[in-house]
Amino acid sequence: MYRYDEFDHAFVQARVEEYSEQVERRMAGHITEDQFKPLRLMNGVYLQLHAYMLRVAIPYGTLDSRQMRKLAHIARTYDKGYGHFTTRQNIQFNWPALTDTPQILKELAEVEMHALQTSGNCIRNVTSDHFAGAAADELTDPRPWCEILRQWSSIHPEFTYLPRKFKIAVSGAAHDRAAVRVHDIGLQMRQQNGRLGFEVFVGGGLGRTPMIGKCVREFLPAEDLLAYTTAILRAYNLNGRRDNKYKARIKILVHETGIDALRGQIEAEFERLRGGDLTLPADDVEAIHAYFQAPDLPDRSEEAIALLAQMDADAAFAAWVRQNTSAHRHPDYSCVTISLKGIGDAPGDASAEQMDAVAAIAERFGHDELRISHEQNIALPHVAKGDLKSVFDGLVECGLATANVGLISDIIACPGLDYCALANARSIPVAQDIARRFADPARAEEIGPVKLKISGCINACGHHHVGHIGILGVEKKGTELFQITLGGSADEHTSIGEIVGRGFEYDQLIDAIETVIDTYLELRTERAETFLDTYRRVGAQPFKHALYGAPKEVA
Amino acid sequence: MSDAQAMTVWKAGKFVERDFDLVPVDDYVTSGRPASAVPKLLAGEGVDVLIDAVEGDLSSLAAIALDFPSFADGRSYSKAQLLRSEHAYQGELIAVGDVLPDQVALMLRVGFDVLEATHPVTRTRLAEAGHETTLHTQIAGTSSVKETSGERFSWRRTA
Repeated sequence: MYRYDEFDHAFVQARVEEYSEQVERRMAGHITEDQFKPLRLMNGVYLQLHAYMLRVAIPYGTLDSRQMRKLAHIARTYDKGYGHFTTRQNIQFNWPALTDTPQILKELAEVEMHALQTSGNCIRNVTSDHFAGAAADELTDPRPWCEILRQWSSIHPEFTYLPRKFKIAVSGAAHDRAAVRVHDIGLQMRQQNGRLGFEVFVGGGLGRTPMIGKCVREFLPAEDLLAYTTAILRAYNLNGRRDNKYKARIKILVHETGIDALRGQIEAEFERLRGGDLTLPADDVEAIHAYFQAPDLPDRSEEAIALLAQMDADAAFAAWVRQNTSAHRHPDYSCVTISLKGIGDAPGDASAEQMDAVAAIAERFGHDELRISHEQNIALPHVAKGDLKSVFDGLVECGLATANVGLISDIIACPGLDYCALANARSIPVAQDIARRFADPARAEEIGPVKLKISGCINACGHHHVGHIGILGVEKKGTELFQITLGGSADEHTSIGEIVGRGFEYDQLIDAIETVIDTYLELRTERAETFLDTYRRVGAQPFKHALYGAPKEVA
Repeated sequence: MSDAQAMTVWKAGKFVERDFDLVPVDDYVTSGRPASAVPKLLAGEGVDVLIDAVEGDLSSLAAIALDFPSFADGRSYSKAQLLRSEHAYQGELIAVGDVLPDQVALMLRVGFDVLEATHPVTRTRLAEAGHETTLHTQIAGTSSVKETSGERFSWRRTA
């Protein structure tokens, strides 16, 4: 992983010192809350429903055990003993005292972490595939490019007051685990005539106007990454709408300008920048790549073969291996996902003790590498198959062995009305109740892969538009109402879910979800036909019928 | 803003007498480009408006003012950057409007060299030394802040 040098340390340190002074000025009453607001936001400090919230970046989801232990320490020392991993590879602490936030940032800086650009109308934390550098289906590790983007976008003078926030995701694998088509810029790594580069998508996004990103360039040579990104950002900064917060994202500019006209502007600017100072020198690219060299993974084939016998002997372990591990590029290794979706838990929450335990497991069995996924789970990208049982046993001890990754209870949910000042409805209790309804592991496995995503308001932080099953909480006449969408997806076949009909009240919602699932089980042609496959084959009608009754005969 | 303040702008590290009048781009041309006038490009006007008005000859301008109607409206950062880096504009760039303390460092980096700061806190902070950060992770300008490369990555700058 990337390691700070003196320059990076000094850079982050300067920001911490500046923020510390700003907090002092605020506490002394020299500046008002209104004047302080943009300053704290630049450092990831939000004011939520009940308290200040600090959002810390975990750039492209990569961290080591030392950093995870620091997060645990912060949760224990300055918060209520837990942290919340978000859908954008950040961690949120929900209860810090404002006066402690400078010290928290100082401690984070000691382990090369920061909260820069986790807020505000700037280029936000760059996100990526949580199995980057490990997955069997990967063309190349996207993280060096994420790191270059992270550095280049830090306090970028031209792009700190954009019309709205700006999110970039990079995927280097055939299967898109980074949801690049629902980002402001999505970069899919490609190879063309032996050269490395990116397919560039622009204008994807969720929120109240969900849009799938459009391909603005089929192949961008990798060394032109910053020049092309600058061209896009410049077009957006100059021409993006600023009259209406809800129409200010680049997706609206793409929609209103048209992708061809916008492409023309971007390409013209790119032509002026191409070959100039923004071109990435091969030496720099190589130096960044050196930080991301894969750990030494010796062959351990005999143990890998023994795994089957271990699974035969332990049904719970076998279920966990089936659900929570996936193919590593080395056949003797697996990528492990640690579910933060224990039945009845708040999705994405981890206690300080759990963070410490996971750090110890990563150190001992995972080459000291940890990842946070946008699906709010933790991943260990490199675990020898021979160590899976030890990892599982360790996770059982700390209550993190739930074998539900990719299943219906592996739910993405925003914080909702429990924490968020914007929310109209609860999210976490909905997720908890759905998980409880489908708590039987055998039944959940029989249902198979379902991505269920819940947002507590139209801003769609829970990504409901791209859930196979999406739930959107709204407020109607003072009560919560939940709309169900079906058929969304955020991978290489991205689609926006379709609203099936009128919303459900809280106490009918879980039954309605069960009706959707039962309908799928009746309709599927075989066990291998997933929920999404079935939906795409039959459409919304049978589900509408099951939820709302037979359509009225037309006279 | 007091009259005394109205007389000064921040330039090259200190407050100096304000010796210009801001005029709309159209008026600047139609009034025969008086020496004391500085064309002010509104946030919604592109750089091309100015270039067309001076028939492509930006070097004929000693100063250009770019407007920040609100600190959150960042269009003039890109315009300053474009004027400096793509149009090789060498004259003064004046930031006018909602010029607040925490944007000053960004403005200087993209190439502004004169700030019309009316906000009292901004004026106080500008008068204090050392408000700029010195380490940067991207190229910007060419600005009045002299930045050097030579760091291990090409995108780094120190000032």
